[in-house]
Amino acid sequence: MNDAERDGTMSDAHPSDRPTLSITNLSKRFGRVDVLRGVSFDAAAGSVTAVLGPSGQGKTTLLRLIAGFEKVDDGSIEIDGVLIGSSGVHVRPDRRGVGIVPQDGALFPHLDVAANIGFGLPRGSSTRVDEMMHLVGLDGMGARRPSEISGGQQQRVALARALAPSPRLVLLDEPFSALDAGLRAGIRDEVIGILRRTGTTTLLVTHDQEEAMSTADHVVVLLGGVVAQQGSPADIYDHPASVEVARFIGDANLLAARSTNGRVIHALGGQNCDLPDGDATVLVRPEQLALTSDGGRRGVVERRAYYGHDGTLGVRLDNGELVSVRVAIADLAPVGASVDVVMRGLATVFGH
Amino acid sequence: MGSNPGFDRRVAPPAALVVPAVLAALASLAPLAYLVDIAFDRGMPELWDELWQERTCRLVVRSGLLAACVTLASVVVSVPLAWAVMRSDLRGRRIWRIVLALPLAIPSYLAAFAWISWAPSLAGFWGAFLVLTAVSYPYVYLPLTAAFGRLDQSLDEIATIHGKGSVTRLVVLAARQCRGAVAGGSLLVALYVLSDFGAVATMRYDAFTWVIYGAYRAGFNPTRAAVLALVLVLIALGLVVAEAIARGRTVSTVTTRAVETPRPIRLRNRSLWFQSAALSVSMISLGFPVWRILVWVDTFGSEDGLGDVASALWGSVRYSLIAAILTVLVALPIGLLVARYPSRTSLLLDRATYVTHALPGIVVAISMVFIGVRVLRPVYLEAPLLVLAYVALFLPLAVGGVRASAEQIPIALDDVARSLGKGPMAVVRRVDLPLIAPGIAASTALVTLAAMKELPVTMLLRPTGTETLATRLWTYTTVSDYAGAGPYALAIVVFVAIPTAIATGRR
Repeated sequence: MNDAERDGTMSDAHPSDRPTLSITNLSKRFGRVDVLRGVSFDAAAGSVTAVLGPSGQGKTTLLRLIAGFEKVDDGSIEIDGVLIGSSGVHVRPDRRGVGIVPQDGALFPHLDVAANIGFGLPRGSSTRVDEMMHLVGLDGMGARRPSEISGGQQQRVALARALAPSPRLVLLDEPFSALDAGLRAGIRDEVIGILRRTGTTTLLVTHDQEEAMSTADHVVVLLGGVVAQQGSPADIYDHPASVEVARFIGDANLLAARSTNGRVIHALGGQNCDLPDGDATVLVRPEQLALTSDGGRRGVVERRAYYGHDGTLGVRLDNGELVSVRVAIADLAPVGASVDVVMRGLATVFGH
Repeated sequence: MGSNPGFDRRVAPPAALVVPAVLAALASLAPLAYLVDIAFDRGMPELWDELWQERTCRLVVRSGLLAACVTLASVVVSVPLAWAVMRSDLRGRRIWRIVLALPLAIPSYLAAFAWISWAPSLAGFWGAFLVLTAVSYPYVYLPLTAAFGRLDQSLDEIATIHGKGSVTRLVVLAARQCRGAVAGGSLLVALYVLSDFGAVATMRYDAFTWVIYGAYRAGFNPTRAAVLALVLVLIALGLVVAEAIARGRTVSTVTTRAVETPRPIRLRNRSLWFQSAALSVSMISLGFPVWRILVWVDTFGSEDGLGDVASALWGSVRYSLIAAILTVLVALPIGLLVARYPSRTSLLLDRATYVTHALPGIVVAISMVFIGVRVLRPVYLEAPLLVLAYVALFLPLAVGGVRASAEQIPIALDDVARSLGKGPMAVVRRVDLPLIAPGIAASTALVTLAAMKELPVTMLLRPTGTETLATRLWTYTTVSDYAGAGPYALAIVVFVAIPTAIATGRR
């Protein structure tokens, strides 16, 4: 199958039923430290899955286990239904058919662009190399050295190199974090676009929640070596499973609340809930809040941030809690102004 | 990211690396093993008999005294000079900094030849002391300049604020902060003195190496040579352990963060003092030997023609180059293993190669003679045995070079190559080896030069009829024919010392 065919047939194809990557109850220890504990998730064929978490929470270890650079302690990794890693099975990395795009590209400095792309191909595959250079928009640059091209181009060469042998799965290890902020979004869209066009099953490891939310079909939130939540980006944003996930994904106003008789009350309102009586916490996103001229909760503007398209205000409510409110530029009140804050929609409630 | 957590469960290294690495490490232990075997050969009573003699005791004192004096003198010389070139506004400090490190490239027997040919009365302790200090102080000076370079400038400022601004006090304060570097360098100097053969032999000072050589020359008493060699090895080992313990206790105040270029401290009227100190040290260690060699070559003329010098040079180059290539080949699997698959076992292999390096050259030479006589009779006094001895002696030098250049390669490159379907040995061939090629070339050059200036092993094991620059120089010096030695000394400076200085300077 060449990529032209894939381009036509797979771009809007539905992922098949059997997941390409299936991870079950995966655990890994280094010495006395549990780096991963009982991690399970699937990556559907042709989909983009993001593993999202702060640094040092086991993301890179997970990726190295899938690629075969580390041995599995417990649990299993399957690709296309075939077991490639468990406590007893370790398929060598060179026999897994898993492509990898490391953080800094990791191009071979002694080889030119064409030789880098052709590294995983049998000798004499120059047609395929040209095809891949065309795919990533680097036509005619085959004779350049890695040191002679820009960071974004290096990242595209690394992608072409990983895709050339038609891997069953491609792992992206924070591939955009080394790029300038100005270039990052453009290269990211381009790379993800190529992966989607070729129908490549992709696992993106990142600490950047915006990157995960905007590119992935499925997001796996990894906190402290365990899966804190997984689902579609909208799922995770709108219904975070815990305070920790809420705090990590997007801007969050976490307000103290109290539930009594099936109703939870907080500074900006109340709603029904199924919690037992007691203290609780509610999550209200900044865009759920607005300024109003009548009937809101009173507060004073303490901070003011201007973003061009809109802005946010940090408002100290009269009960002492500080909330972040996303507002249109016209409503961007000065620091010290007295404002009324109102909430739209329902808050997400967490019991204690 | 990119953290490299514990390596205990990393994927196992390929057997194609492990097997040659283990074999090489084991083979490099052979000289020491053989020495132990010889020492115990005639049983414990004989061993004790050799050990408990007054002369053995005197030997320990004489060698220890020499090592202590040279080490002390090296520290006294190095501390103010290293401080001046790194922390003060000494004129021409950038050039001084390099010039003062150069004596490291001069073989001790060469410096000894220069001095004794000028003043034969120097023979004995003072001659050996002078020569060894002149050639080995850079072992303290070099780490100290590095440490002073990283030293936090605020310490100088604090000292000035507290009224301790005099130059002497600043130097002492800085040296105290860098006592780790002083200790490490002192250890190297002490080990150098204990294992040196050329200077003590030329100066006829009865230190361990010279007496061991005598016991060997006397011929009938291998036990005595082996016992003395083992005592020397134990002393050296004791020093290494003592330094490691001392180092473990010191708290370093040297910052690891990048320090802005320190504001140099003004020497004012002290400048002249430091200038003349730098000048005298480099005159004694560099200027004088070179001048003497030129005098001998120029004034007296030698019976040996250019052809003899050329053939000795060829003798030096030939075996040294073969040995260097072989050494680097043997070092490759160990160096790659340590750099790419770090584990306790691979580190142990790495350390094993250092054992022989810690043995003085004369000890390795004698051990190899025993091995030659008993096991490798067919190649005794033939080229292969000499080459093997060089390999054992310089293996750690090559392992260090291979390892350092392999550690420069990001491990991600290996990982990517694996994920692209290449087996571990294909990765070594197609990624690691091409990338460490410059490091391999540099290591080969350094080992070649080191072997070319090596004296005791070459002297005892060279193939019958072969002469090298070092052995020629030695032969003429022993019979006080300094005019005859002159051309060979010059050739060593031109073909060994200068390239060594350039090669080490570029690192």
